[in-house]
Amino acid sequence: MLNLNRRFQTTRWSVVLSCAQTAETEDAAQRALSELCRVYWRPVFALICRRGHSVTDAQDLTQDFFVMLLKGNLLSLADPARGRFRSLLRTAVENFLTDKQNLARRQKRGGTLQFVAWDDWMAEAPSQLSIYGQELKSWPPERIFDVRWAATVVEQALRRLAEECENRGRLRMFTALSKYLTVERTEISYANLSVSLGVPETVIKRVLHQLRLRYRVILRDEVAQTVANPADVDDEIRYLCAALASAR
Amino acid sequence: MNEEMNFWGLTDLPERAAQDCDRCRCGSFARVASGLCVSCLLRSGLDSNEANIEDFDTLLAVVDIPDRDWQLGSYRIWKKSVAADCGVEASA
Repeated sequence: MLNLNRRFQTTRWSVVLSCAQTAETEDAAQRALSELCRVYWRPVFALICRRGHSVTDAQDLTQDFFVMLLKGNLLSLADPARGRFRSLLRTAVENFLTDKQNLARRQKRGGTLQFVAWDDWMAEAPSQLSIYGQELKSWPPERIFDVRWAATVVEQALRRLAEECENRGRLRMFTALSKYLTVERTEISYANLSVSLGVPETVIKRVLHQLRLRYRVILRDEVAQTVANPADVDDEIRYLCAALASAR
Repeated sequence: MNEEMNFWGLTDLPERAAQDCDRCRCGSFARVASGLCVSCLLRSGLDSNEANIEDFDTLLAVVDIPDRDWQLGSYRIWKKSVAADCGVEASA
């Protein structure tokens, strides 16, 4: 089982911040930042789209932004004292979009070069988020960013849990039980699940309980990768919950 | 790049984003592919009950719910690459 406290010292964002603090550009920091970007590119793209750019332009701008990011400019902005990857990334995107020079450079070079393996990023983490559409249209860009971020966190956690099950030959079990991860126990038909999976109800209850606990560990680890202090995990989760709630 | 992904970059399935989905009883509006509420999934991370956590690998090995031989996984068609009389090749 994962020991979060021990692992936290080497989470991706803390690695990036430690290198920013010492003004070094170590390979480890670049790798950590690259991995974070690969997971959290969708909120950036969503925010740029919501800022009024066409899909094509938003793709180009997202490309350019990540090129800038991965070249190290973000590290100079990172403040370990108040470091959350989400908030820094959002600020960086907003600054990037207000810098007309970025737009001009993109237009000058035609906006056709691809430095980021965009299709690979999409293929490895497809998103099938569905949203209450009517209210969606009135959300400001920063809320779009936060909601997309929240969705990315849970989708990433579910993906990791599915991979763990698949690697043990238990993807069918995950597929059958994961839809009950947040369902009230009184609303679950353990008898039906017992029949469909061919194991006693007691086993279903035990596995589902452990699946929930394992999901929780993975989710918290996923959030921990984006904050600088272990104490920030709960706050970050609460922030994202609030972002979803305030958008009702 | 999928040109249909244009609903503010929120989802690969803009037709789903554009439709009203059922709200969760918590009042939230966003759901992932399995239908689970994003807000409920997040809040479950705040649950502090860590009693009785078993070793997950051990549990998976012991519980007799194996995948079937024909199990394909949770794939979906990503892009059609080639179409011919004999069929369609696609990335999934």
